[in-house]
Amino acid sequence: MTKSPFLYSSAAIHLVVRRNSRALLAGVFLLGMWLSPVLQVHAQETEIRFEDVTEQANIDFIHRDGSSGKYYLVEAISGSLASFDYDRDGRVDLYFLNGAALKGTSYPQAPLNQLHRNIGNFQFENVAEFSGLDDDAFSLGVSIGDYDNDGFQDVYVTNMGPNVLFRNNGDGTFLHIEQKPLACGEKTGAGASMLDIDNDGNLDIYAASYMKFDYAIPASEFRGRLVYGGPLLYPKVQDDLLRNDGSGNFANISEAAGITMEKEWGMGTVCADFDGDGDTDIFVANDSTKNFLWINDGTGKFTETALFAGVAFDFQGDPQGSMGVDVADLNADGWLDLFQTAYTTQLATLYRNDEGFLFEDATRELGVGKGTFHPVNWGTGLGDFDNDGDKDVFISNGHIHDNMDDVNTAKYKCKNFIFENLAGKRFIDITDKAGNGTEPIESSRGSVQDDLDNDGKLDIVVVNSRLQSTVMRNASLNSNNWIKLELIGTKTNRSGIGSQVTVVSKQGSQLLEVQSGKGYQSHFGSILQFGIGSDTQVEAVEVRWLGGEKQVFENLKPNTCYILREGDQTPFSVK
Amino acid sequence: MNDRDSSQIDDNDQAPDGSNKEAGEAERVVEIPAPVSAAEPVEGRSDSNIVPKLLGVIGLALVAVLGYGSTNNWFGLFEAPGVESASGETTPKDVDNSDVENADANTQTNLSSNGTPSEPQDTSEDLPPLDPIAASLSAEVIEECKRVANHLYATMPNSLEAREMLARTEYEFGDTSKAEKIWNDILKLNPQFLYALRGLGDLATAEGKLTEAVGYYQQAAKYEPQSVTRKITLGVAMTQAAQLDEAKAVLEEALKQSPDHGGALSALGQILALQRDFDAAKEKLESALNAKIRPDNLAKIHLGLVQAYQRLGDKEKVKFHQAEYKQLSTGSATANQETKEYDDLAAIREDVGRFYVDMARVYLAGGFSNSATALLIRTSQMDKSDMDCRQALAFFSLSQEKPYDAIRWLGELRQLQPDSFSFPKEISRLYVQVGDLEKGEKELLDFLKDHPEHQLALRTTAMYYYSLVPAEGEGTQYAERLVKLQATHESYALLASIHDAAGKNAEAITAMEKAVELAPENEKYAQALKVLTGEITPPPKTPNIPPPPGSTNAGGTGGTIGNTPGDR
Repeated sequence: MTKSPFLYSSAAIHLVVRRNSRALLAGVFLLGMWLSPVLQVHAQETEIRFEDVTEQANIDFIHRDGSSGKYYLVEAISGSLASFDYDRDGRVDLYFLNGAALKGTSYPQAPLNQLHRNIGNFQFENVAEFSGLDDDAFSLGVSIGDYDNDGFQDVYVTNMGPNVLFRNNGDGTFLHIEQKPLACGEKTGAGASMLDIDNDGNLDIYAASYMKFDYAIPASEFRGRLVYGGPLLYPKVQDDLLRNDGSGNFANISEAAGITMEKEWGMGTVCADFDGDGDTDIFVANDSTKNFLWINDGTGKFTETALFAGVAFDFQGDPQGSMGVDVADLNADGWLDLFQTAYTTQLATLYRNDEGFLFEDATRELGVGKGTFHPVNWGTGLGDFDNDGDKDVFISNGHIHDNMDDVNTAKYKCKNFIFENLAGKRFIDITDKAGNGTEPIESSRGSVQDDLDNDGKLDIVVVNSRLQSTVMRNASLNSNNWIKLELIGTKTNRSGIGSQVTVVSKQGSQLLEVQSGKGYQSHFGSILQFGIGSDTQVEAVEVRWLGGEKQVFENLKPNTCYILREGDQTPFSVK
Repeated sequence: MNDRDSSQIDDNDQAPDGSNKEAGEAERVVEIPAPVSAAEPVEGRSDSNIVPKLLGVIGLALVAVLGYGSTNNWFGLFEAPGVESASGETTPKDVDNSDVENADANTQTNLSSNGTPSEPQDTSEDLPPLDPIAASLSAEVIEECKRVANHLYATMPNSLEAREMLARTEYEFGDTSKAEKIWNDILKLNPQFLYALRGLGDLATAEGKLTEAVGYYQQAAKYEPQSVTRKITLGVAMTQAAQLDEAKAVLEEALKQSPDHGGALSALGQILALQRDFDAAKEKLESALNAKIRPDNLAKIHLGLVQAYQRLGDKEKVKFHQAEYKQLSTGSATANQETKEYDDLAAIREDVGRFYVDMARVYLAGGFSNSATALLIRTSQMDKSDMDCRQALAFFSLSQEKPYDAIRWLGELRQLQPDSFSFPKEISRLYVQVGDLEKGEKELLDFLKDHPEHQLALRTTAMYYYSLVPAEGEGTQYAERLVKLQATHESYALLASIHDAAGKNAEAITAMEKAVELAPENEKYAQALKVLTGEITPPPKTPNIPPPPGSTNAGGTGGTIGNTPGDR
C-alpha cells in the first residue's frame, strides 16, 4: 500500500475515526469546500448542463397507463424504470415499466415492459422480447440486485396483481421465477428494494404496496369533472418482506420481521443504514399518511420509528403525499440524509440525519424544496451532476389530473427541477440555467440517473406519463474529476447492496451506500459515482461492507471506474 | 353561551386584550369585526360562530333581531325589529356601527345608519339569471354561479365588491388568470382592498409562488393590523417561503395582540423547532396546548412536542405526548371517511351557496334587495344546511313585516341547530306577536321537552307565562326548576314574582327571602319583601312586583321592585 504524506495526515485519520466522529470528517470536508472556489462560482451561474438527447436515443417506449376516461387511480401512479447493466458489457441499460389495459381500455398491442440495451453513444435497442422482460402486467415498481449471487443483476417488479422476479440467466435472457411468496398476493404494488436484512449474503426483498385496487370504487368528481380519487378511498394493504434462503427460495417473513405492525399506502422505498449500526434499515414513503422508518436490529427484525425519528410527517405534523425518495449524505457529515418528493401544495422535503436516530426538516434552511410547492413531484435522485464533490437533486413533476388545467392552478404538465448543492450549505434551483434537458414539459413520473455514456457524468432518464421518455445527457461545463466504484461482495451479497463507501480526496470525504430500489418506485445507481472536483487523486476509498468489515483502497486514479472486490485489495479498473 | 361551540373560535371573537370571550351572546353584537367584504374566502363556512362575519351588515342587524343580543332578556321577543325596547336591550339601532362604516368606506356599500339595507334603488330591478330550479348537475351549478357573478358586476360596475365577487368566482370555478387580473385591477383603484390582496395571496400560494404570496399577505396584514388571523396567515406563508426569522417576528407580534392564541403559539413553536431551538419550541407548543383559543389540531401539537422532547432527551414527556398524539390522531380514520363520503355536487352547492350569500350582501348594499332575496332563496334550495341564507331571509321577512315567512326560515334554522334556544325563542316571540299564543307556547315547551335543564329556556318559559297569564301561575314550575338548577337571587326573585302574580303570597315571601339572603345588598329585593310581608304598602294601582318591561299582562299585589331577570 502506497502511503502518501497526505493520507497519513488526514485521510487515514478519517478512515480510522469515521464511525466514532463523523463530525470531524464533516469539518474537514466543509473546510475544504470553503477553500474551494465552488461557492463563489455558483453564486450566479451553474456549470451543470443537461442536453435533451431523446431523439438521438430513439427509445421507442411509450408509456401506457390504461386510461380510458374512467380515472382509475392506478393509472396516475404508473411510470417507473430501472437503469442497470444487465449484460455486463459496461454500459448501463434501461428497463421501462409499463401499464396495461384496464377496464374500458383497449390497445392494438398490449403495452409491455421494455428493456432497452445501451449500445453506446446514446443509442439503445429494444431487446425486451428477446430478454423475456417484456411482461404485460400493469407494472409499478422495480428493484435490481443479484439475488442468486451469480454475477448478473436480477429484476423484481411490483404489479397491480402478482409481483414477479426475473432471474438474469447471464445470456441476455431472464427467467420468470414462479414462487407464491414472490407474488405478494393480488395487491397494487409500489416501490420495492432488495436488501440483505440479516447479512447472510443473500438479498431479500421489501415490496411496498399502494392499496387494494377495486374497479367498483368509482372515480371521484371535482368541480363537476371526473378525477382520480385519492388513495384513502381504497383499502390499504400490508407491505411484504421476503426472505431469501440462499437456495433461490423466498419466504414471506413480514410478520416475524415485525413489519405487519403497520400498514399504509406505500409508494417509494429506499434502504440504507440510517443509524450507522452496520445493518440495513428501510424507509417507505407513504401517500397521504405517515411514512415508515423501519429500523433493523441486525437480525432482520424491524421496529417502526418514523414518528420518533421525525420523518413520519412534515415539520407541521402534516402527512405528505410522499412519492419518491433517495438517500445521500448531502452535507458531508458522514450520515445519510433522506430526500422525498410530495404532492402539490407540499414541499419536497429534506430530512437531515442528525447522527443516526433523529432527523430534522432542513428543507427551508437549505432551500432545497423551493419551487416544489406547486407541482406534484414524483421521481427524485441525489447525484453529483457537476462532479464538484456534493450531491445535487433532480425532481420530476406532473399532476395526476389531466383535465383541470383550465379551471384550477393544477398543471398536468410541469417542468422538472434541478437543484444544485452548494457545498451542503444551500441549494439553488438551476432548472432554467441548466440547458435544454429540462425543456420538454410533460407529466413526468419516475426518473433514474446513471452514467449512460461512461463519461463520468450522471445522465438522467425520465418517464413521461402516456408519452415517450425524456433522455438527458449530462453536458456539464467543467472538467471536474470523478471516480466510479462498483462493489462485488464475496462474503456479503454480490451486488454489494448495503455496503457503504467513503471516498477521500483533497476536498474531503464523501459517503454513499449501494442501494437497490429508490426514487419513485425505480432503480438506479448500482455503480457509485463520486465527483472530486479539481482533485487529481483519490487519496483513499474505504468500503464498509455490510456487517461492518472494512477495506481501504488507496491512490485510486480519478476518472476511472473501479470494481472493488470484497477481500481483494487490488482494485480492478474498467475501461 | 349554551349554543356556541367554544372550540370554534377565531380571532374575531377576541376582546381587544386578546382574551377569549365565550360567554354572553349579548356581547357578541358589539364584538362583530369590521367586515370589509361579505365573506371570508376560506374561513367562511356555515357554522354559526362566523355568521356575523360572513353576513357582514346583514348579520349585524340580524344577530340583534334574532336575539343574539337579547338572550338575557326575554322581553326582546315581544318587540318588533329595530324598535328600541323598554328594557334598553340592544337592537339594531344600538349596534356599534363603526364596523359598518369601515365596510362602507372600503367597499362602497350603501347602508342606512342602523345597518339595515337602504330602500331598493330600482323596484323593477333586473334579477340575477338564476335557473328556474336549482341545478342538479355540478357543471350547471357552476355555470349559474358564473352568470350571477357577471350579472352582479354588470349591475354594479362601480362596486369593487361586485368585481371582487367576480374575481373570486373565476378563481374558484373558472380562469385563475382572469381572477388575478380583476384583483389587480381592483388594487389599482384601491390598493388597500383587503380581499383582493388576500385573493392574490391565495392564488400565489396555490401556484407555488410563495415569496409573492408573502408580499400580498404582508400588505393585507398591514391594512388590517387588528387581525391576528391575518398575522398567522402571513407567518405561515413566510414559514413556507423559508423566511423563518420574519415569520417568527410576525407571530410574536400576533401573540402580543392575543397572548393566548393557540394557532399563533403552535405556528411559532413549529418555526422554533425548525430552527432547532427545542427549548423555546417546547415552551410555545405546551402553551398552545393550554391556550384559551384552542388551535385546530391538538394532535399535531403533541407530535411537535414528541419531536422537541425527543431532542431534549425527556423520555417521559416523549411517551406522554406520543400517547396523547395517538389518542387524538384517530382523526385520520375520520379523514378517510370524509374522503369516501365526498359529494362533489353537495360541495359545489355549498361553495356556491356561500358565494351567493356574499353576492346577496353586495346586491343589498347596492339597493337591489329583490336580487339579494332571490340569491338567498336559491342558496336555501341548494344547501339545506346553510345557516347564513336562512338567517338573512328571516331578517328580510321581519323587516318586511312578514312574520310567518320569518317563522318558516327560523323553523328551518331551529332544525339545523336543534340545541340552540335562540330560534325557538324568536319563533315563539313572533307567534305571540301575531296573536297565536298556543303555538308560541308550544314552541317553548317543545324545546324544553328535549332540553329540560336549559336554564335560559326555563327562565324564558317562566317569563312567558308570567307575562301573558300571570294569575294562573303556570310559570311556577319552570321557575322552580330554574331555581334548582341555578339558585341565584335572580331566579328566586323571578319565582317570587310569579308566586306573587298568582296570589301565592306565602310562597312569594319564601322565595323573596331567599333572594334577599343571596343578595342582601339589593335594596329592591328588601323593599319587595317588605311589600309582600305587608310591612309597607305598595303605591296604589302599581303592581306589587312590576311586570317585566315589554310584557303585556302582569298581575300581582303591588310593589315597586324591579326584580326581573332583565336586571342582571
